[in-house]
Amino acid sequence: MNPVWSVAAREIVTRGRSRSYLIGLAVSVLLVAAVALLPSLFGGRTHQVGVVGGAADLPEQLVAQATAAELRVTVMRVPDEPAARAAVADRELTAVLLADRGVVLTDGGIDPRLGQVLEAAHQRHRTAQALQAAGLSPTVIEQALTVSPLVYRPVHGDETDTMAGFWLALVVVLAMMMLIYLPAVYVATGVVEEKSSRIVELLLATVRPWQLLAGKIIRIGLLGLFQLAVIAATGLTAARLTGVTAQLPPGLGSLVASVFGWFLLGYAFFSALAAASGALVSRQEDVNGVLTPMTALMMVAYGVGFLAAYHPGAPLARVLSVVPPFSVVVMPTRIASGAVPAWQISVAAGLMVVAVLVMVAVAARIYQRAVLRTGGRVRLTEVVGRRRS
Amino acid sequence: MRGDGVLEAVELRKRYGATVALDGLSLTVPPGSMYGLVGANGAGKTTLMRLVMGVLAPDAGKLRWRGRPLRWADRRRFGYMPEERGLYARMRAGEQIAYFARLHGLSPVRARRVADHWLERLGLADRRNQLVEALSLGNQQRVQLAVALAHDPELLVLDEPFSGLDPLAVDVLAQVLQERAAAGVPVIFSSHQLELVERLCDEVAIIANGRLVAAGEVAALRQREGRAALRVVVADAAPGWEANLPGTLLERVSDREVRIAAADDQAVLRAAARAGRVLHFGVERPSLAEIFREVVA
Repeated sequence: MNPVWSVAAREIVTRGRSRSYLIGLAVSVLLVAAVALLPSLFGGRTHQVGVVGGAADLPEQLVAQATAAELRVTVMRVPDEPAARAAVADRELTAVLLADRGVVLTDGGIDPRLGQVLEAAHQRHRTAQALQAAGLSPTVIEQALTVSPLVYRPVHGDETDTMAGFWLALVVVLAMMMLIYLPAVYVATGVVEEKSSRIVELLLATVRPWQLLAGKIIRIGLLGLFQLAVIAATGLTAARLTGVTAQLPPGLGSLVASVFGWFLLGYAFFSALAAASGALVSRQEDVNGVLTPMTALMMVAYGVGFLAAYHPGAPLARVLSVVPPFSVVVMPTRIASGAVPAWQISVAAGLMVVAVLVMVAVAARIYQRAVLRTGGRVRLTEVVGRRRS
Repeated sequence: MRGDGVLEAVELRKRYGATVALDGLSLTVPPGSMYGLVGANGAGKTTLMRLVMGVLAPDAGKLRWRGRPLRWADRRRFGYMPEERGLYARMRAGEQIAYFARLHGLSPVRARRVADHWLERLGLADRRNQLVEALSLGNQQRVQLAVALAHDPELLVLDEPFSGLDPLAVDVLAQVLQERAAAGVPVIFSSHQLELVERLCDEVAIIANGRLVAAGEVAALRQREGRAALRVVVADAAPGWEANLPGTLLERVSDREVRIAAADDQAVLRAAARAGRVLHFGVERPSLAEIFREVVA
C-alpha cells in the first residue's frame, strides 16, 4: 500500500478522534447555523404601525407598500393624536402616521426602510386626494398611481443587493476562514510535532519527504472536507428551516461546487506554505511566530473577502479576486454575491493553479532541507536558493 | 576479505558548513555480520548511518548494496534506529510498531501480527495498549527497537542501541541481534560500550575525524593493532623488582603486578623468576578499548 495513504490514515485516526477536532467541528456548525439564522432574526421583526385619519384604504396601502419592500408591518387605526402619542410612548406602536397633518410620531428613531414605506404610502395617499379633488374617478386615479417599480441593471453584471446574496457571501468568507486557515495551522503544528519528537528522522528513513508531506496534507484536507460537508448541510438545513431558501439566488449548487474547488486550491497553497514554515522551527512555541507571514496573507484575504461581501463591485475586491492567493477567498465571495464574468473566474483559477504548483515545489524543497535540522530556527536563506553544503 | 561485503561505503564525504563530518570514509560490511562502529563523539558514526539510511545525501562518494548502487527501494527494507530516538508520544505502543511496519509495506493484518510478536519477544506484551509517553525510557527504547525490527529488514542500522538499557535488556537485545546476524542480516551498530562491541561483534570499524582508522575482525585487530603485552605477577619480590625486567614497562598495576612490552618474552620470564615467586605469566592482547585509545590518540 502506498505510504502516503498509510501516513494519511494514521493521522486521520489520531486527529479525528481528538477532542480539539470534534470541538472545532461543533463550534463551526453552531457558527454557521447562527449566521444562517441571523437574517430571519434581524429582518424578521414585525413593525406595529398606527394610522390617524386619512382615507379608508390607507392601512391597506401601507401594508401593500411594506410587502413590496419585504418588510413585515401590521397596521391599525388609532382614534386620535393623544391616543397615538400614548401608544408610541408606551412602545405599543413603532410609529403612528398622522395622515392629515403629514406627521409621523416616533419614539426617536425609525428603521429607514419603514420610513421609506411610510413616505411612499403618504405620497400616494396625498396624490390620490389631490387627483380626487381635481375630479378624477377612483379608477383613473388607481391606474395613474400604479407604476411598476424600477428595474436595476448593473453594467458590470456582478452587482447584487439581495440580502440573501450578501449573507451567502458572508457564509463563504467564514467557511473559507475556518476551512483553510485552521487546517493549515494544524499542518504546521503536525510538522513541528514530528520534528520536535525527532520521529521525523525515522520517518524519512522509511518514506520520502514528499510522501510524508502529502500524507499529512491529504489527511488534514480530508478532515477539512468532512467539516465543509457538515457545514454546508447545516447551512442549507438552517436556510430551509427559516424559509430563506426561496430567496437564495439560483445556481446554489454550482456555487457550492466552486467553493469546493477554491477550497482545494487555497488549502493546497496555504498548507504547503504552513508545512514549509513549520519545518523551520523545532518547538511548538515557535509555530505562531513562524506562521506570521502566512497569517498576514490570510488576514488580507479575509479583510478583502468581507469587503467583497458588502461591496462586490469595489475595485480592491475586483482586483484581488484574481490575484493569488487572495483569490481563493475573494473570488468565491464575489461569486456568492452575484454573477461574475466567466473570464475573470478562469483567469483567477488559472493564476491560482500556477501559484499552487510553485508553492508546493518551493515548500517541498524547504521542508526537505529544514525538517532534519533541529535546534534553533532555520533561516530561510539557508534552505532556499542553491545547495551550499 | 575486502570486496565481498553486502554493504560498501566508498570515499564518503559530508560536511555541515565548516564542519567536516566524513572525510573520505570507506568501509565494507560482510554479510551476516555483527559490525560495530566505534569512535569518539563527533567522529562521524551518526552521519555515516544517516547516509546509509538516505536521511542525508553525501557530498561525494558512493554507497553500494549487494554489488550495485544503493537505492531508495533497498533502503525501505532496512531497519533503522536513529540516535535521536523518536516515537509518537500519544500513540499506543502496539499501534506504533504496526504503523511503521505498514509504512514499510506490510499489510494491516501482518503489521499487527509482527507488532505482537516483537512486543512479546522484547517483554512488552502487557504494554501493548499503553501510550508511548507513559512507558519508561527503557521500554520506549524497546519499542524503538521493535520499530526497527518489525518489517523483517535485510540490514539493521542501529545508532547506540544499547545506551540507556538495563543489563537484562542489554542481554535480550544482544541475543536478538545475534539471531538476526545468524539469519544472514548484517547488523551495523555504534556503541561507546567497547567491551560489549568486543564481545558481540565479528568486525569493528574505528572511526576518527570522519576517517576509518582501523577495521577488521576483532581478533585480528587485537593481533595486529597495538602491541601485545606481557602480564607478570611476582610475589615476595624486593621493591623495585620490575626495574630489572628487560623491555618497556607499560603499566605498574600494583606492587607485584606489571604489564610490560618486550621482544624476548622468555628473558622476561627468567628475570621475573630471579626477582621472586612468579604467580602469573602470560601474553595479553590489547582490549578494543586499548586499541581504540591508541589509534585515536
